[in-house]
Amino acid sequence: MQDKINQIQQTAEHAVDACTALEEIEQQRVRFLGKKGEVTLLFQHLKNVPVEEKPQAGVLINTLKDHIHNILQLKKERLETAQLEKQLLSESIDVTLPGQNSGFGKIHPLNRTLHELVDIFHSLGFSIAHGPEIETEYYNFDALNIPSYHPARDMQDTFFLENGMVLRTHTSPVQIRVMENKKPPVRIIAPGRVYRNEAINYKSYCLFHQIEGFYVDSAVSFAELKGVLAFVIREFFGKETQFRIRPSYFPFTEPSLECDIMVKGKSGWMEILGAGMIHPQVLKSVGYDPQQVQGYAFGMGIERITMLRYGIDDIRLLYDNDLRFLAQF
Amino acid sequence: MKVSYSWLKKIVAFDFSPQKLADILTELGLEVDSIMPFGQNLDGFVVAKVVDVKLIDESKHLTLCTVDTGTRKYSVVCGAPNVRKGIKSAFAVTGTKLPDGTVISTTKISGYESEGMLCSKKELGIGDDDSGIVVLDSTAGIGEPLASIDDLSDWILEIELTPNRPDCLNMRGVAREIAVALKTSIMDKQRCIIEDKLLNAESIGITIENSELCENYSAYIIRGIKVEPSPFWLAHRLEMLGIRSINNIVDITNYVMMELGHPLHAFDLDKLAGPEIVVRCAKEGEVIETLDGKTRTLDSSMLVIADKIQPVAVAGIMGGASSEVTENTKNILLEGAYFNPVSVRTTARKLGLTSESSYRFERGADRGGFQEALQRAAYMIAGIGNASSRSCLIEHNAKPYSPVKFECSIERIRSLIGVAISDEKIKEIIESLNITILSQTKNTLTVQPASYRVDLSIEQDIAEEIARIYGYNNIPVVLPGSDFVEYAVNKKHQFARFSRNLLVGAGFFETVTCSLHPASTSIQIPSFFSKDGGSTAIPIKNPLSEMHQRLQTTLAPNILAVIENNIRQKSESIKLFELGTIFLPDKITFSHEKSILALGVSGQRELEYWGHSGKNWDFFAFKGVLESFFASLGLNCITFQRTELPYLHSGKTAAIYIKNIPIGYLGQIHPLLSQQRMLKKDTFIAELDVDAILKEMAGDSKYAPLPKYPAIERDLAIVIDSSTPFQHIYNTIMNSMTGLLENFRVISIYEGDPIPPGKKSLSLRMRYRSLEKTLNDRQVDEIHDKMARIVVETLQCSLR
Repeated sequence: MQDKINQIQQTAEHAVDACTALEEIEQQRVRFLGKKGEVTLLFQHLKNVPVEEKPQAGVLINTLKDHIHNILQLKKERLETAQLEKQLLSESIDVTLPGQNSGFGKIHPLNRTLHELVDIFHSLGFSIAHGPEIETEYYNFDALNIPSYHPARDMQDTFFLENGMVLRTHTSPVQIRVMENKKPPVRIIAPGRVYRNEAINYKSYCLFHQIEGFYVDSAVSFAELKGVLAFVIREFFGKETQFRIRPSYFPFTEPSLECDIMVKGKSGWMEILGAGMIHPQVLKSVGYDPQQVQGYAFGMGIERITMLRYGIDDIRLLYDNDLRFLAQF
Repeated sequence: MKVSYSWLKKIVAFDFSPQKLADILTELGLEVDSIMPFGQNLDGFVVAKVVDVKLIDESKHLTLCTVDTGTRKYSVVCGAPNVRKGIKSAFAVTGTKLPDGTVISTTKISGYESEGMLCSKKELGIGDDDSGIVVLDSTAGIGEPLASIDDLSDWILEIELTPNRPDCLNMRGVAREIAVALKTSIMDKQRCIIEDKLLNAESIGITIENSELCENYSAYIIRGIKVEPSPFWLAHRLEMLGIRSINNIVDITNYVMMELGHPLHAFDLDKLAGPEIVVRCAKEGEVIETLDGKTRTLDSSMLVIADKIQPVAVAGIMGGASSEVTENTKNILLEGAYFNPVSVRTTARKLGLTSESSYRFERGADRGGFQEALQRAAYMIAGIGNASSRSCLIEHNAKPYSPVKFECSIERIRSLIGVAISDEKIKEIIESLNITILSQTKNTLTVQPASYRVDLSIEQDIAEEIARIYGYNNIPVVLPGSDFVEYAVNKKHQFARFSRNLLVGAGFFETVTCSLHPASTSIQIPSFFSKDGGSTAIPIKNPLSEMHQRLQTTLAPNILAVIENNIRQKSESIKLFELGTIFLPDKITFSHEKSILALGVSGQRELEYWGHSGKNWDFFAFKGVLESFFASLGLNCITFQRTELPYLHSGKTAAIYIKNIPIGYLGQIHPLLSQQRMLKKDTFIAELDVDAILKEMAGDSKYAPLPKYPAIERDLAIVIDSSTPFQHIYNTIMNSMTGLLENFRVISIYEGDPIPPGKKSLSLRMRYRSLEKTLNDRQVDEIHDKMARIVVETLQCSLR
């Protein structure tokens, strides 16, 4: 019996090993384990084995059956894997061919800048306010300490409308509108479109966008303004950006400053914003008591910052909306 | 304003470079815009004396000159009309290189050899004058290099001065600032103070009729002067600063203005009727011819200087032609006065006439110190103009100057700046700026700024001075405090951001366009949002051009223009959106500003790529974008109805509604418009009222539980009148069998054989679901049959 078993095992191992297709595996299964298979027949021969050897012979045949079953299974898996690999290989493609353009669009570079700046100011606790683009002369000038005879009115070429209305020349009127309706502390940014009656050329356009910001409370200081500006500049332009501030003049702030930056790898200072401590006359015009509260305000041009950041040398590109331009941001 | 580096060095001692000077001035708030070399290429030029002049060609004004450079004499052919024996000029010997690169060579002109060239200011690069050769001062040393002449090689700094600092519109003012920064003082020595043997006791009547507009009018009478070209140094200094030299008298008034800041004026005394001076307002319609040769009509708000009969100057702005100083003038009246800034500014604007003088008066002149400038000019005129006699100061002080005084709290100054600057340092800075501390208590200083500092009148002004001199860049950076300030989310900004992200994800590019339109826009593309289509759009009184006359009432024209421009650039696929503001006229509030979201598409919706063809836009593809957009915003109450707009295809335009309120439209552009403009016919556009959308989005939508039981679908085919809008079919079906019919969709729409004309066939796939149990086939069949009956009945259609 033992010899018979050994012989079948050897035959089976050879036969399975020689299989090259799944059908052959099945043939071998039938040959050894099928109803009339060689192993099945062994069970039938068992009745001829002496009683005392029967249990052991039974164990041996079962072991042989399991063994053949296992090698068949193993071989089958191996063949299946090989077949799948062959199929996958036949399905291979040139992965370097271009993909289908799913065609995402782009946010306009000006609004990209705006969003980033707004996020930075949000992180500092500034809320957003908006104001109208058509303003009264009062909000655009007088309330901001720019009386009609003041030479500073010449600093901003204004578009005039009927009824004494103007297109706002800066976002500063939003300061007034917010403060008129809210007691300190107020910490606000006001992004928006402003207009200047300036000839259109590579460096000026008849409109542009600003972010105004201001903070009024009991002890807000110039040094703190400087801190906010430094934070915003480093967050936006990068840690290695140098900045300097220098005295300047705006009727609605005193002291006033302008801020220049030098971007890494560039030489020369570029002016990016104006700021200062809100003029007491402005605080008075909204009903605040300049003896009790003080604050700072700043305004920056989004075009200028965007152009500086991306090296855009002609402001008109920003309003031409050439897709070849817009796709670059 | 231009300032001269070498001139400044004569007023305040420093020895650093022009660049360093520019940095210091900028840090002081006098922003230096540019530094330009002036006369920096004078190598090889020497001072030469013209010792002989012979006319060789009268028609060409050619002369043969002999010039002496000390070491030898040269023959030079010269065409300048002003060459004459005895003058000293700039000589370039053969081989010298002019600043423009030309090299002087020995040439023969009209048969005479010329061994070099006598040069004009323009040729030397020290001015624009090319009418003749340079005539140097007689003190210039023969043979000396030109570069060694005082002031000739210089640097000009252009300062962009803020309007609050008129005190720095002159050399001394700028020098004062440098002195403060360097903790030194300016040298006040003056070039030609001569002690007067010329003094006479002459006077003239001065009347000031309006002391608000003119506080003080002072004058000198100077007689027996000789009006002639200015000496070289004087003309040179003016020309360096960009002021044309006219004659010695006018030049001195300009020189003193550039030096000390106060505008002065010289009248020809003999042309003043009276002679007397009346400072008065003009009579309505009174006329004056100003020095620029223009006749100007005045009104009664304008201040003039008049003689006995007529105006002889527009006060503080420009003199009159009738009393102009000319080469025949012998006697002059030299004016120095203080005029009201607002008055000067208003008059200058009304007349459209500005000058160096008005520029200074309207910013604020030195009302307490101008007589120093007047006196200096009088002395200089008497000296340089070889006067025979000069009067003492003649003055009418109608409203004596009282200095500005105010209190400031040291604590508040420190609190504003945010730095603990010591009391001593604060006082030191204040005093270095010529601000007198009149008195002082523990925390309060009473200060009196110098009269030229017209910008200092409140505590905050002093704070700025302290910060400025302390150094803005020395103030530490203090990180913002952590005080909590009530914070509000801005819905509009949030919406803009959300929309941008959605649309960019859907392939749209954001545009930013100009909100000013030509007046004709509303004719071709009227506004959907304006009752009159935008024909009464708000006009601009002073438009930049015809292209910028009115405020936009729709974003459609700009979207179409951008599409057109990109088609010109051969873009195959254009998907755009813009978030902008339109301005609708409003009788009560003047204007109503509305936020609009506009979208435009053109050309290929899906780009072709290898193995796949592209797809063009059609109405439903575009509508689908809008529907998906609304769905993303959580708006499920949007409906569409046919409408018409002149620039859109009349059959392919829909108004968009939220609960029966129109909030915008979409449509295909009119074929005629696509022909007129360079637009493709499959161009679609939409505009949405953002404010209306925001209003609808006010609340959060509530979660609906997920269904527990499966849905089962059944198809239904109906034949119905072609004219029945889908919206009607939809409403009817969705209102039937509610609770069992979850939704349905259109599988196909068919018209034509065998469907009778005027009818269309719709295949609908109905989706049934019960919220309470699993429906079995039999139950669904019953429900579906019932649904079919209701549809046939209510829609007057048949089943197919």
